[in-house]
Amino acid sequence: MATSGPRGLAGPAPVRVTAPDGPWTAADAAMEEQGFALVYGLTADWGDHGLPDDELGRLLGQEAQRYAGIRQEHTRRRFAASRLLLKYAAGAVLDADPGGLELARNPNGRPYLRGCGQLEVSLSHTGDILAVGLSHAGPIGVDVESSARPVYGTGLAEESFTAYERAALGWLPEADRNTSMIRLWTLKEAYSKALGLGLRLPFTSFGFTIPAASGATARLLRSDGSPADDGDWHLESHTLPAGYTLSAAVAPTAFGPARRPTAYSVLDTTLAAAVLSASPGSRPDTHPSPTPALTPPLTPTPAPAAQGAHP
Amino acid sequence: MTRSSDQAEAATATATATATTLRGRVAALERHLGDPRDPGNPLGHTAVLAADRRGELPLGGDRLLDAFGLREEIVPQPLGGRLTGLDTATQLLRAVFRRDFALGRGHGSASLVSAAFAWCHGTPAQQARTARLLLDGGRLSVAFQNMSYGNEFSSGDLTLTPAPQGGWVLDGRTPLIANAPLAAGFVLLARHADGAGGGDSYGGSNGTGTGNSDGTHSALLLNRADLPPDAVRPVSPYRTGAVRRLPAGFLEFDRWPVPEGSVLGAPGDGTAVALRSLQVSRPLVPSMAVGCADTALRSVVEAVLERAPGVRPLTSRYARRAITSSFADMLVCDCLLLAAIRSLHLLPEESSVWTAAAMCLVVRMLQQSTGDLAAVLGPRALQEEGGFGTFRKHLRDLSEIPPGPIGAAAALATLVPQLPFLARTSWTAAPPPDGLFSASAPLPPLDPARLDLAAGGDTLMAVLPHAEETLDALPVTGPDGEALRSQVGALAAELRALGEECRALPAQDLAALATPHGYALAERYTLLAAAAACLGVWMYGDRGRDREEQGEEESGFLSDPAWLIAALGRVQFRLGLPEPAADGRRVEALLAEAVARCAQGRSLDLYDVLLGGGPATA
Repeated sequence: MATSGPRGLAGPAPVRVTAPDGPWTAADAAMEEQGFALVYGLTADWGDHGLPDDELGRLLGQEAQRYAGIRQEHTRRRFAASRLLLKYAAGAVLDADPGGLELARNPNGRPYLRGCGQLEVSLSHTGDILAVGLSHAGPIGVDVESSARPVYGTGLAEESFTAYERAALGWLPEADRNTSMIRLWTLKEAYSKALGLGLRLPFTSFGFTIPAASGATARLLRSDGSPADDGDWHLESHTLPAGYTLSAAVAPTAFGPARRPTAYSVLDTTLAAAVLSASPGSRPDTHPSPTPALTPPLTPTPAPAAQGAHP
Repeated sequence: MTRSSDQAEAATATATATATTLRGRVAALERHLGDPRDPGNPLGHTAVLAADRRGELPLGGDRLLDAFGLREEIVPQPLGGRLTGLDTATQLLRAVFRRDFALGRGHGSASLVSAAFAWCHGTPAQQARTARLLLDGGRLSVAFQNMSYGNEFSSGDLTLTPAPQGGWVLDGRTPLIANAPLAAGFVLLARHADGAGGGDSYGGSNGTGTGNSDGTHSALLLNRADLPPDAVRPVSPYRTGAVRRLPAGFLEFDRWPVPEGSVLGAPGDGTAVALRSLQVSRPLVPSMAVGCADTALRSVVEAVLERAPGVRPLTSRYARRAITSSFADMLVCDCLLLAAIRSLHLLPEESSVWTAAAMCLVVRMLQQSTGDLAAVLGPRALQEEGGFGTFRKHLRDLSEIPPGPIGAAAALATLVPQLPFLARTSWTAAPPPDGLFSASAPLPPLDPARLDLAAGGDTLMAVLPHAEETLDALPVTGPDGEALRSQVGALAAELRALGEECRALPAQDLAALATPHGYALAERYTLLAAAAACLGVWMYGDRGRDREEQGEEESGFLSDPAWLIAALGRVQFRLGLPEPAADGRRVEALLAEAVARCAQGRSLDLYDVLLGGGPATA
């Protein structure tokens, strides 16, 4: 199973966070109970972070150069805002300095925290909204889209939905079809992002049951509409107060949901302590130096003359 | 047609009698396993996939492997088995993983990983007992345990309390153990309830031969026959996190007096015992897992070549990129694994870092680049029939390679504390010792007494700055030479940057090391170590040599820098460094090799094995 929450039930509604100091309690609780958390923020809040350049640089870390290379002011602002939201959120749930987190990308484009794979992350933005998914269950994908974006009747269904999905949409009251199409679309984005395949995975190669309402879950189907035998993906969709749809996909983990990691427990501290004390660097008598020593090494036993001085 | 076991045994008798080299042994096993594409073969992909769906092991698999004598391969030669080099045992099990991970795990790798505890720390009596158990067809299981983090299945709590009449009594429950209901013996790690295992072993810094004892744990080697009858508690295969297709369970104890002679190593030395055994065993299963990635990639290439409906054609840019990337990633992993596993025999003192790096990097990388292949299959990517099903099965298996997140946590625990010291003292240019990068040179026997928990040097990483210093002597010219030289320069510069950051870490402060920053540095280390291993294999490996020995006249794909440049490019990409510009010739060379190997039924790893032994004349 993908998550540690009850099977088939969506987690709590995504939480809006407006500033680095949170509150992160809801995200924390979701991590504890569900194994994953969904948060969102507005570019307006996170873009005007008021951080001095050097602090922003520290927080962006390896991405600082990329940030500086973005020409368009709006895009640069959103880039920084999304990184800040993601790093503060991850730092809060890991109990770690957000500046110590390095956001890296797999060759397939999927973002991850370098060295902290136990906490999976996903980012999405549209308009002035930023969404972040965090998971210590399986890999997570999130996607956010304006619920009002007109997609019904645009040909999107023919291009991107399976025959089953199109038929299912056809049975819905006309008024619900656009909303449901946005839910399906964002679920597809979220699922491919969790897989790290993005748009390379043809959207007609998989499908979902249509989530009945905001805060409902969906099931993964094959292109022919039959249920896919693919572990237990957790798929859910929410409508946010500001008129956006946020969907999330959490992949199954073979080893069962792990206890929530904190920064310190990512490594096995008992073993690490044993390795540290065995390290040649921790033995004062053998401590090597990178350059030849200029003074003779310390002798382990006191000089005979000194011994002789004491009766 | 299904082969009868009589025929199988007759075939084996000739195979085992003749083959002694690693290549020869693997070829003999491949012949024994038969053509993977034969629908009537019990270990062909069709039969394996059907067994996978039933949730069981392929019928006859255990018997077939027994007939080959695979059990002997994991028992050291002086104890009556055939194990001399860990490379051979691993490559044989990789061949089984190419067919079916669960079969390989259940039959071999689970026992091998458990037996490593006895081979490294057992008394002569304990080793003889373990050898007999395995040679008699028994299985050995180990309870992997994360001591500081985990879940219901990965964290147990076994405690040892001194018994009034001497010795200890055991209480509590183990983590989930694969094969537990079948196993004839167990290796367990138990905590001393009073915090101290034995008088003098507590708090010693490094005075004893067995290294640093923290006195908190002891490792136990137990016979199933000695356990109380209800000690093994099977877990339902339907439960989340249960081991797929293998029986699994917990062990539970209630004031059970531990038999004399059960403690492995010194009492209280359990942490060091576990660390040293893990040092040996942890690159082995990732190396076997290359077999899963191999079969998954082959299934995709075959679907592309067959022009299955919906599958992207070989001319599609995405298909070409996904196939060559996955192929290159597999070679990156195999180079690091080759050096890590050989270092256990050749440089045991330094091997802890490299085997930990392999554990951290390999399975994650294989899983990810294999997953990227799904998009090549197009609209039918989720279908489960034929090659699609074989692909999905092996992709799923890759996500289940033990010990999962616990293994990464243990490997990081070995890696992170060593970075400041190694950055201060190593990572400068030096040529590697002979044979570290050879896929065929014989290995000296493993000497467990030489395994150190922490390395005093880093001979593998030294290959990278050494390559930079000898750049002009690299035997490659033209656009390839240009690309390779710029890659080596960029990677060496990245190593210098890593060194600077690692030297800035407070070397003795675990709380300051065990941070996301420390883990990020460790990951960059693993990638650079993999790059160094690729360079090592290309510069100092068997290029040309073993081909000649084998009497094959192919020009040798491994001599062409195309694979090396692609492999280093994958590492650069993961480090966030710019890759060299795409080059038509190199992509073609990689793609042509992948296609040729699939068409001819050869493995896609460094070893280029004929699957199913190929034509009868081979």
